[in-house]
Amino acid sequence: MTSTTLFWIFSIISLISACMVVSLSNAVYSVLFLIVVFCNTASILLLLGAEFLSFLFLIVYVGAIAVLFLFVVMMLNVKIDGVKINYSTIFLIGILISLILLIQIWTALQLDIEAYDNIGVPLSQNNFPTIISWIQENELPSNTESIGLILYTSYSLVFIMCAFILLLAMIGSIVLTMNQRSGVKTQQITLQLYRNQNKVVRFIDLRKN
Amino acid sequence: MNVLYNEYSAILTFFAVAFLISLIILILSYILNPQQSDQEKVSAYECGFNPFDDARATFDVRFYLVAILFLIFDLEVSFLFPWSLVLGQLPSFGFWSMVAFLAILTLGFIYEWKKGALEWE
Repeated sequence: MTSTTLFWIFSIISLISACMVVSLSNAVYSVLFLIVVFCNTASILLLLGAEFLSFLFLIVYVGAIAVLFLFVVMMLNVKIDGVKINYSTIFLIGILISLILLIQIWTALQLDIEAYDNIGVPLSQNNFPTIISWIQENELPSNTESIGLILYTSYSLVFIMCAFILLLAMIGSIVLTMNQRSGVKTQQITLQLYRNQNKVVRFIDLRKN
Repeated sequence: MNVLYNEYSAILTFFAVAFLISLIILILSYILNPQQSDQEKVSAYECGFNPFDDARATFDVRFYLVAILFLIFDLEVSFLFPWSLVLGQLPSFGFWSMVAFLAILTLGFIYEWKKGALEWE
């Protein structure tokens, strides 16, 4: 089974599941189909040779973001369904957005194929490099290593900005969702341990009074 | 073609076998089982009494907070991974940029700790 066949299988499954995501009326099922899309996209990234990105996709998107989506779906009131949306109003905006996305993907693809030409890897008829370049496999750093070699030095500004964005997400989510309930009884272990029998237990002589 | 695929082809084979076996079990149990539909079979099971509420109740927003905080620290660890792989080849600037990254996120962690976001009342 060649990589082109695998690419077709993964992309067809992900396209079908993506159509299911937007067409299903039950939101929980659409999130589950979204997970299928994420898994298949991770496999396509693996086929491209982007190992680290692929597993990051699995860990972050399937492991965390899908759970977040499920939480959001559960927090919404899912009992109201069968609401008819007037599709004609959002149809034009949808076409516009998908046209922009299509142009972006097209330009990115053109750039990629040109880059392959510049390296000198021969292209087959359907514009995919077909040979194993052993020099590349043995001498050049792997995908994860090459990300590591430039991310922390050349792109350190972006890296630090990423830290600030994560900090913002952390503080923002705490500020938005924390609500301190007053009067909640909690266990305070230090107070329990400090409690001494000499201070607490008293003997009262009832006879005298 | 890429050399990478040879290492992952075993995983793909496992996936294919698992998919086939689960499909066979599902189809066989559908075919071999006597199908007698009953209203009690499809209703939600409650121990002894009739179910009085839907299972899809809205729940506390704090689960969401825990999931977001998990996601952020998950990303932090995944940024650490390629750094640890190439630490020997990086100049000291690369080391200190990661230290700055960790320091910024530790600020957030201290804020989170003091605010009590991780505590479950």
